[in-house]
Amino acid sequence: MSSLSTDRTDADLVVGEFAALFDRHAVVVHRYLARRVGTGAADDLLAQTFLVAYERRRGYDRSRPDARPWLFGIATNLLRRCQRDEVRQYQAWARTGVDPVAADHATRVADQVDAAAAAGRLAGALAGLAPADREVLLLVAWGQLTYPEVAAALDIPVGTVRSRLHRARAALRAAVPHLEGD
Amino acid sequence: MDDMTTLTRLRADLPDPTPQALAAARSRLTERIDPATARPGGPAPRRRRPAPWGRVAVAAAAAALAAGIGVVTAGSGSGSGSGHEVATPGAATGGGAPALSLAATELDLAAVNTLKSGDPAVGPGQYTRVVTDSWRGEYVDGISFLQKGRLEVWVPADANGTWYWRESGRLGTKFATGADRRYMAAHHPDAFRPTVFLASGHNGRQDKALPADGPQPGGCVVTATDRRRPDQACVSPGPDWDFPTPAWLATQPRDPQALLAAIEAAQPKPVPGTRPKADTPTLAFFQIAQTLSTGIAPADLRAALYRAAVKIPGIKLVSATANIDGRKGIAIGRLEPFGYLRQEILFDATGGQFIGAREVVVHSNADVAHLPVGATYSSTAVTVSVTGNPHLF
Repeated sequence: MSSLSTDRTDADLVVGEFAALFDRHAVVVHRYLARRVGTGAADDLLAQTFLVAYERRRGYDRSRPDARPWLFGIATNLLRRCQRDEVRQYQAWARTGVDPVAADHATRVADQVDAAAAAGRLAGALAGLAPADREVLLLVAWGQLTYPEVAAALDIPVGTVRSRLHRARAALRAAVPHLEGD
Repeated sequence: MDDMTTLTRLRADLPDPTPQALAAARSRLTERIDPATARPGGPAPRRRRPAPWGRVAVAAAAAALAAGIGVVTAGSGSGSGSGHEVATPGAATGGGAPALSLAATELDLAAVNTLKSGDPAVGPGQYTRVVTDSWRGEYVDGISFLQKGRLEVWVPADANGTWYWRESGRLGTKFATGADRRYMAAHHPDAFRPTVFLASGHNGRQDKALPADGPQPGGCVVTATDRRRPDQACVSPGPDWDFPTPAWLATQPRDPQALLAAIEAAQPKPVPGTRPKADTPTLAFFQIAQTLSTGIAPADLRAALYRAAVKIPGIKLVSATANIDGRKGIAIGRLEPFGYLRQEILFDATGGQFIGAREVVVHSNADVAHLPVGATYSSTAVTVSVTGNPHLF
């Protein structure tokens, strides 16, 4: 991160210093992309996200100091092209109990048998979600966006975010009944 | 532990991007930024002696031009003079999306978003109303100027229902000079008088028209893309790419390759021994723009049209913030033969909705010598909505 740009909002960087916007957000965007489709695909999608963002920079709403929702929206849009691969990975995870995306890495999501089984069932539920519901759910759970931020990222009303999230969580709980909702 | 907490922990310990991956992505971005920031805004507009209005395209291409030829000073300025393509360099995709040019990426996204957005529901008795606002070029006594026109078409939900048309002409004018305007006001005051033409019909064909000197029963099909004069005799064609109906469009391929092949097969062949101003790729791109402009292509066909455009050689991302009539969107363009004009289609960045089409001057010469680089040579903005019966008759 550039210390020079810490006192500037993302809106400033979008206009005047786009590479600094990359430095500020590339890791969190990559983290989200990797959780959706794996590290290898995320490397390429990260570059594409910022290239597309750069092309669209004049359309950026300058009243928004935080560009994360905008960037996550573009990333989510790009992920739609990988939807089939993404769902296949969840399905493989549910079938084998091993996350194909994390399998290459030394650490595993869950060491406990119970937790691994729950993870597999959750992955199966993710595979079965409507794409629009899954997007909202994972922007919240993995992208760590707030409801209004998800609404901004996807250009949908907050009420729609809530209803999609509600539907997605109901599906998760149905798939993994011992997980209590809050 | 609740569902969200469990989900939040899934894949939480994936490694962060490697410094190499970050550096590679960053350099793809900075390579893109640097030539862009180094590019000047284009030469200052030069005053040129207005030349006779030239129809740039061959007749077939002219017929395919969505709604006439016109000149509009580029409204947005941003990016309108910067046709360029950046191929995203190949990268280890790990089974993800293939590396595409930005133009291909944007068109593919538009296709995905179009399928997601779908079509508005048109209930029984309702109509799809397609409004096409255009600037078309006129040429009188050596003076080139622009006239604004609006064509509204109401397409019934019921295949057997009554279609309606309202064509409003001469809604506005633009002249290169005040002298041109004064000359026209003195000698051709009609050029400033709005006209209205109404028609009704079935299956895309007009069978009743006002005023009476409009098309006669069984006469021309008039669509958003028809550029024949109303009083011009013509045979009444069946539905085709130039005059489609919803039923006919429903029969067209949805596979992009097959769709492009069907469109190309419908284009007139270049005359041997000539240097065509509109070769097959040019005509195919026009045809895609025209079909999108009809406003009656369903979402799956629109998506296929975007993806067919990907397969046309020479497409480039022109601007992500282009605009027609104030509506902003992604502009994908293609240089026409001879390099004077660039064809562009515009669509919404979020929903994939088609916004319109235009031609922009990239080399001020020949037929467009009277226009500065960056000027819009023709422009069509398309708006689609659902309405009730307009009861024009």
